[in-house]
This record gives sequence, structure tokens and C-alpha cells, in this order.
Amino acid sequence: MTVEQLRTQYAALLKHADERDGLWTVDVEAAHLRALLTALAAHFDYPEDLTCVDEGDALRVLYRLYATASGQVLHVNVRVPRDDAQLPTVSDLWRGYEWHEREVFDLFGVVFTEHPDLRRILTWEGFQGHPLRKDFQPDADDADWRIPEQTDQDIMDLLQRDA
Amino acid sequence: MGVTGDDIAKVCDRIPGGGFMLGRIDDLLNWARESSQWPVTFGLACCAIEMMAAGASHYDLDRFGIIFRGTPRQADIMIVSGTVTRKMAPVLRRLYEQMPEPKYVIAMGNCASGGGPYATGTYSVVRGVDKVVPVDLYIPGCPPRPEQLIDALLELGRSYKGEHALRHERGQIFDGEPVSP
Repeated sequence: MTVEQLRTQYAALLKHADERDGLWTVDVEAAHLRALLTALAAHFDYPEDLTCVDEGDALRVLYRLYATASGQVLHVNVRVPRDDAQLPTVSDLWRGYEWHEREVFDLFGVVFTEHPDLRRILTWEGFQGHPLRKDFQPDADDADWRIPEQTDQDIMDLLQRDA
Repeated sequence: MGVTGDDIAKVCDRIPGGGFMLGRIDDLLNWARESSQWPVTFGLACCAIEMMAAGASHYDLDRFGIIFRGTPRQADIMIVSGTVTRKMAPVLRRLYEQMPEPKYVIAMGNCASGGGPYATGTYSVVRGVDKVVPVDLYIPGCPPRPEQLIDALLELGRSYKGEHALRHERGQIFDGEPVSP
């Protein structure tokens, strides 16, 4: 596959596609994301990375795909509004993206609809906010945090569970 | 475990002409504990690299009888080497609770001692492992050199002297108070 083929084959889905130093970058509307990635999954069989950039008015979600047969790398950019950040999950196309989507949800607050288990993955249970958004302010009370007191019974319960 | 004549003289009195020795069991236990410290490793960040260096052949913790254990249930010291996050804190506490008494905690490096470079403006880092478990020794440094860790372990071993390990109850020996140098 060449970038020309990519451009003509998926012209209806792509906003923009170019190639620089062997790295292909395509931009796609959120509405067409699943259709495009479903088509590409046959060729790009390895989900290298999934990350996000806070661009101020929008969040740019970046899928980095790799084709093990040809060695090609493809960046797929999709922008979502920061106050309604929603994308369809692609964790059914690449199982490896299941945790990546949880990470982007946790740190940037992008909701992946139909994700099988969209819980926070890096921050702890009960954490408020999405810390890698530029407007995030850490909670000043966190500085004084200490672990809650545990009774001997709590500890015995904990150890029983381990045994 | 070989007991040399000098060590016996420290902990026991010889009965003239007899084959028996009398001594305080506390002294014997404390000598044994000091001579075979078994830390459970809690490598969390770059300090763990220095801890590994201290354990490897160049610095060789084995020559002091200090053997790293892979499970808290066989360990009496926990070396917290690195940045403690809120996510990791309950796990650390759980490992600590599994260690048999009497047990000790060394906070290795600035992060474990007080948050280090993450002490302000962070959302995820606990400002010192003493917010999670009681700490007996703090080692400054970012990261500390292996010599500092070795010194801390030996210092901790010397502090066993005078303790009553058999009469010990949970939380009795330490109460969050650091060992005085």
C-alpha cells in the first residue's frame, strides 16, 4: 500500500493525508473514525500507541498503527471537542487498545463508547478530574493525604484474603 | 551460621569447666537479627537501581548477611526505594502488614522521605512513605549512593541492641519515631 492508494481508497473518509520521511499521517472526522480503522485493521495489525494532545479548544486523539508485514507506520488524528469528548471504541479491532483507551479516558477524559470496561487505570479509585488536561488543577488537600487508619480486624481481613 | 569465639564472648558467659553457656536470649536474638537482615525490596523508581547496585557484586550486601527476599513474609526490613504514588500506597501497606514482627522500614531517597521533586504541584505522589507506614530510617539523596544504603542498614542493625524481640507486640518497638543516629 502506498500513501496514494490510501488517499484514493479512503478519500470519502479522510480529511487530510500526507507522508513525510516515511511516516503517514491522516486526519479523520470522529464520525468516520470507526469505518476507517475497521478498514485499516487488516493491513495495520499492530496497535503501537494511542495517546492524546490537549490543543486548547479540542483534544486530538492520536492512533499510531504499525504493519508487521511491511513495516509501515500510520498516524491517525481525530479531534474531539473538549467539553463533549466522545469516540467509539476500537478495542474490539485491536484488543491491545483496551488499556490504552482507559489511559486516555483517565488522563484526558475522552469517553470511549461501548468500551467493555472503561475504568480509570493510572489514578486511584475516586480521583476527580483528568490530570493531563491543561486546565487541570491538582487538589491542594492531596498534599496532606495519609493512609486511613486500619484496625487489627481490617488487617486480618486483608491477610485472610491473601492466604 | 558460624559463631566465632569473639561473638560468643559478647553474648554469653562461659561456665568454667562445663559445656554449657548461659546468656540472655535477647542478646542472642538481637545478634542473630543484626547479622541476618532480610529486606523485602520495594523498588519503585530510580533509587531501586542504586539498591540493586548495593546488592550486586561490586558492593555486595551478602557479605553483611543481608539477603533480599522476594516475599514480605520472610523479611524483617522493607526498603522503600522510590516514588510512592496514591495508587501504590495501599499495595505497599498490604505488603508491610504481611511482614512478621519485629519489622522496620527504610525510606530510601528524597521521594520516599518526603515526596522529593514531586512535593508540590503533583496530583498523584504521596509526600513521603511515612504517610503510609511508620519509617525507622530516612536516607537523603536523589538517589543515594549504595554506600549510604549500606550504612543505613548497618545503622539499623546496631539499633537492635537492647530491644526485647520476644516481648515485642505489634507497633511497640517503633511508633513512627526515626532511629537516632
